[in-house]
Amino acid sequence: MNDRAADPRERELERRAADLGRGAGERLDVERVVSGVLASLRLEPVVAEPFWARPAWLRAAAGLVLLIGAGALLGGPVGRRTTPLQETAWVQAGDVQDLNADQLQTVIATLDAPLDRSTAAGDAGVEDLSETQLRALLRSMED
Amino acid sequence: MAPSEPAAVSSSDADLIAAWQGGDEQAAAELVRRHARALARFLGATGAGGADVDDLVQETFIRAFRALDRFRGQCQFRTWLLTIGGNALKDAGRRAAREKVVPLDDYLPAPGGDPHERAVAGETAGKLGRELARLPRLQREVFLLRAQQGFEYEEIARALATTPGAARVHYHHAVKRLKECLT
Repeated sequence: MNDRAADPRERELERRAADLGRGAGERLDVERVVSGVLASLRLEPVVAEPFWARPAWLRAAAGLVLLIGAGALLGGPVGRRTTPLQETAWVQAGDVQDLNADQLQTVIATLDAPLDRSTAAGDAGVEDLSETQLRALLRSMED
Repeated sequence: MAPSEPAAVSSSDADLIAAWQGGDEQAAAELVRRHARALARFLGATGAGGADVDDLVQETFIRAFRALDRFRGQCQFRTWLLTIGGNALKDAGRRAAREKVVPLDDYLPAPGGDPHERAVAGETAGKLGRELARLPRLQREVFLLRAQQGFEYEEIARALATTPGAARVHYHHAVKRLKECLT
């Protein structure tokens, strides 16, 4: 250590701390540890995990998916996917005051229609995926 | 894994790591021989006792070898190993859910000299060990990495993913509490 303690009690503390665990170090059977470690590594060889399975890559990928998802949700017409029925509703909603009763009923009926599958899937966030699903998604992105 | 050629004792840790990753089993054995006692002392001082230390040292090395592809040389191999040892100790403590028991002879001074002085020194060391076990984990590890293992704040900060300033603060908090054991 370069900047040694100036306080004599602190120096004494450091001296005693350096001695802590001495017994454990002396008692250790190093060759037994070597054998144990090597045996374990032979039994289960180390397999390098794919780069995308490392936590940093997983976090980055999750962030990217979130950004894309948020963009799709908030991006307006560019990111929005609508059915022809919904498009009709959007166009007609602007001129709702000019509609007769039949036309108005048609518009109301389109508003009640369920959204199609692609729109519903776009609402799902990456946070809803399990770890396995996230890994599968990343794998499919890599393929 | 067939050893290529024996790992030289004078090789650096980085050379040995590269040799192990290239399939040299003896390089792994040399890394264990080089760092096992320091790791045992660290674990012994942080609360592991008796036969637990041998098992924890072994488990720490196995964890380290399995995670070696994540070690980028951001700090020394030994510092990195000691932090893995700290995690292994914490996990073992959770599993056992028991009080930390440290063998008294870990704190006893070396044989020889005045028996009374030895008894007093042993008592002080025991108090120090118990107080150390009560410190928050980060304070305890920073203190031991510096006071016991002799690492600089910069090195400790790299190993514990903090700043040298924060490491210094943790160290001084630990010292403030541990100094009471000397009175």
